[in-house]
Amino acid sequence: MGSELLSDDPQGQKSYSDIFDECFPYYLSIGMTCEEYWEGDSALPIFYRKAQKLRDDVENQKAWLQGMYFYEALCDVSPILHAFAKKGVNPYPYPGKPYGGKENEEIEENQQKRIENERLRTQIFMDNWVNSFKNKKQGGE
Amino acid sequence: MSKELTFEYNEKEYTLRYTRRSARQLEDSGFNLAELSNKPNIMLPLLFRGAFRANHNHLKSEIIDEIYKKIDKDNLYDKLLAMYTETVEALTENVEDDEKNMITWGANF
Repeated sequence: MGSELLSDDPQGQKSYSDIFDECFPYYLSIGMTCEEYWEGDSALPIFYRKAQKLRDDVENQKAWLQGMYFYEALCDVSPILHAFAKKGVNPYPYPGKPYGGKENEEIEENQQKRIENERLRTQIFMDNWVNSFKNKKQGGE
Repeated sequence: MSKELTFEYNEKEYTLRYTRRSARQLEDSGFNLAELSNKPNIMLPLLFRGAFRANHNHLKSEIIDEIYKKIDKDNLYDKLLAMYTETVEALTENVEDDEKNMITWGANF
């Protein structure tokens, strides 16, 4: 948002006062006060625009996340949505927790620990199995 | 943040800057950027005087005239113009995009 605020002037003779008046409503709409606009620091609009962009990005992220939840809900219900769904077919359960929450991080951490434990257990079992063969061979000799 | 010009005169600190209101008042008093090159003797003193409005609105004209006679004018008008144009540039320019697309140039003189 910058030069898009200005209307096209066929004569190219827009005064600064005209430009100020054209841009004023936009900056009011993004939270700048009348006093800040007219009496305040000249460079303030730059930071208001940057702040507005950050707000727009956050809103976009929220809308995207909402869309993901809708998509998830439709996918979970999809097994029973069509006319010839088999008897006894159930929808998939909707996630019990929000995406990206702290609880999800803990679950993922526990899963990683469980996988590591399984790997270590398997490693020990294989080592023992190999050693038992070695011992039998040495005992046979 | 915004561009300012400071100096001392008669043991008093002066800070010159433009707000959008004082830029508008400058235009209302007859200043026209397009005529700056054609009528510098009229426009430049107006530009100087206009820079006092934001912070020193009640300063007497005679004192401003005294300061104008005595002040070092080397680069002064460039700075005043930069302060004045900032009131519009801050509204409409995307500084980061402009810096990315800027064409660099060189000269052999």
